[in-house]
Amino acid sequence: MSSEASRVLVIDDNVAIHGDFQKIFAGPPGPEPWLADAEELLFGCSGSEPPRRAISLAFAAQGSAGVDLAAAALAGGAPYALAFVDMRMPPGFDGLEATRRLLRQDPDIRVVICTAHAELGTSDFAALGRDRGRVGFLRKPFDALEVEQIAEVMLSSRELGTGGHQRG
Amino acid sequence: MKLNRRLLLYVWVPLAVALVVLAALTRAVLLHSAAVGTRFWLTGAAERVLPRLNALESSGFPAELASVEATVAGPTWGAERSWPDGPREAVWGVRGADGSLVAGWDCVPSGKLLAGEAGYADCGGRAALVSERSVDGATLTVGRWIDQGYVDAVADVVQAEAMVLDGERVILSSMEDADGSPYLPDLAAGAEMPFRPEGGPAFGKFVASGAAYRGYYNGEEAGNRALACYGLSLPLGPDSWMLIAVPESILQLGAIYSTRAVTAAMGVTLAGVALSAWFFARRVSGPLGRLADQARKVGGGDLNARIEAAGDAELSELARAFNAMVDALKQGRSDLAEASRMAGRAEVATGVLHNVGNVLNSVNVAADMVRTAITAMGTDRLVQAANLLAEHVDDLPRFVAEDPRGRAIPTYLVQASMRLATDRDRVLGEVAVLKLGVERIKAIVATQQSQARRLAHREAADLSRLVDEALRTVAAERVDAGVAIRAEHAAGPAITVDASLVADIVLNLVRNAYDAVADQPAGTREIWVRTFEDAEGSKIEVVDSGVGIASEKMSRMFQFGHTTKADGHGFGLHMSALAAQGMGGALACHSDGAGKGARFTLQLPASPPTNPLPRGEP
Repeated sequence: MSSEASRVLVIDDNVAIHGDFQKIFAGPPGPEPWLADAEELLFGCSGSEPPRRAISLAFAAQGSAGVDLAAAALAGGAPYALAFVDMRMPPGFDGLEATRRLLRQDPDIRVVICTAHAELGTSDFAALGRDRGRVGFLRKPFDALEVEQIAEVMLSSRELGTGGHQRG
Repeated sequence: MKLNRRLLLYVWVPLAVALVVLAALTRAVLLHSAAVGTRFWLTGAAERVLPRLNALESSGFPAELASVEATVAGPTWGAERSWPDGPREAVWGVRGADGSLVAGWDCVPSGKLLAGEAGYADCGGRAALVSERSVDGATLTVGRWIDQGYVDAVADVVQAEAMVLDGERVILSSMEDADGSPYLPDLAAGAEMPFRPEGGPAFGKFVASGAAYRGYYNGEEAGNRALACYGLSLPLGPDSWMLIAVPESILQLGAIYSTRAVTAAMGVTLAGVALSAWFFARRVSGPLGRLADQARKVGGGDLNARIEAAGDAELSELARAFNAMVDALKQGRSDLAEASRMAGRAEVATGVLHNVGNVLNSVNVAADMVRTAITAMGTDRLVQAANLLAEHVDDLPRFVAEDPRGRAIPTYLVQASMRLATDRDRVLGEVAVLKLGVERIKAIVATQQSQARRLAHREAADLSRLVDEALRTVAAERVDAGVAIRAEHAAGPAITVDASLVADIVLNLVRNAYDAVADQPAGTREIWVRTFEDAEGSKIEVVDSGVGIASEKMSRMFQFGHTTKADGHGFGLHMSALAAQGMGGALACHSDGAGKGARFTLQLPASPPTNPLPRGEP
């Protein structure tokens, strides 16, 4: 696992969802250091949480804005490792189109498509071609565990260079 | 009479007769041109052979053209030959120091008895005659110079011909080989013949097995150089072919004959066919024309167009079929309208699912947060701290004053309780989110339920209530849209309508209005909804300050599949307009142009039905 925070982009037209991602990846606040010290002294062990993957989040409310943001980050040498993309984002293009563009412009990025209903089928997945190894699906409503788990899988696959036809 | 029988009588039969006549005429013309002495050659063109001669490869020669090609390049001369289904072969030789041709040899023993063949070589105005003869399976090849000209011949074993065109003269050299005499006579002793000899060379001997051939001749007008002529071979019988050429110069005459006669024949036969077709048209096209008129009316949307069955049985049958089709179309259109309405509902359901999904998402995450926060609250730590104190209850003052752990406890308790307080605040915050989410879902579901009263098609509906409900639904869907909504209600008492249909339409209009203002700067996104009554009856008006509609797009606003939205499907407004029409009302649209907002007016049926159904259960 890299020591730097993994950069994750959330593209969703619903800002409440932005908040959800923020809460999930921020996790519960760890115990303050003095509290941990005191607990160590008093009870012989500290109640600190196991280390979590450091995630730095960015948000976009429309597909086009998100794709532009990712392009700029890629050009700036700090590409997003993973994007969560909502399926329905009127009035702009939908999540599938945003996903195609993200995959096209960055051969390393991983994308998780979030959808609230069964509007995507296996044919949509197949249509992503050899890029589909870099795409995951997350049904809304999701919970914290699902999001953390799929993020971990996707970020690991990127670090290992598997699942796509990226540069390696 | 059956139509297809008529077609046979008036069109196909004349056409077939015309074709037979045309073929016969063509054949006669061609035979005539043959009789006047047009000669054709089977030899391939020199320009095709020359580039390949140095290599003299035996492959690559078109097998479908049985021919001989020969030329001289430098000291070498060569000839190639091929025949259908047989090997391709080359013969070549070397020119002697005195310019004479040394006999060449066959590169490939043929192994079968072949027609004797002759080739030519064009070398600076001179020609070499190359001939060969098959004797007992072995091939003899002889090369010889002749004077200026061109040589070509195809001959069988006992007869060979060579023709040399020398200006206007034709030198015909017989290569007859009746009884072992030298196969190739001296060309200088060949008989001179006029160009059009009586009973010239038999036509059938010049047989090419492909459809196309090329030949050429030498002539003064061409500077004694080869001119190409092109042609087609036409089959005349099982083993007989005719070559028709469009050559230059000496071959022109025959071609002109052919052209004129064939043109005349074609003219006559085409006139016959046209006349016949005209008769056919007169008999049949009248009723068909009326059918076409009615069909056009149907195409234009008039589903009351019908045809009177009259005339021929077959045309009557056609008329009946047409009328049945229009009936089916009429039924189909109303089915389609219903299907379209259902599709609109499916869209509503999908939208609801999406909205509920989004809200549930926040609810889920908030619940997760509450769970984690409570887990991390460390209440068990407080129990542990209490236990620690309990263990030392007998010497508590000393424990708290002197033991390092005991000394830490008071501070720890203070800090831990402060931490608990912040944790509690976080949990309460998440609980508020949960509550809000649940309320939103309730609102969405309630709206759905009110729309789900589908069975009671007509009910007394309070328009203002109906509109407010729609506004609430859309507002719950688009919480972050930043749109200012104003509703004015001046409609009279409840009217009897299909309330769920009206709600569908209003929902659609309000959603469209939200979309229309979505790209406007914040603070200028405004939507006005009005219910009122005028001379025409009750109306609901949805006005927005959004993108507006360009005048050229206005006419297509209600068209099926028309959409201005990137993710639109184009049946929302279409379905709404159909529904308005179906209930006896109307949906109209007005805009001052692109960027100037839009106004959609739903006019409800002027007079309520006389026998309204009882209102459904809410």
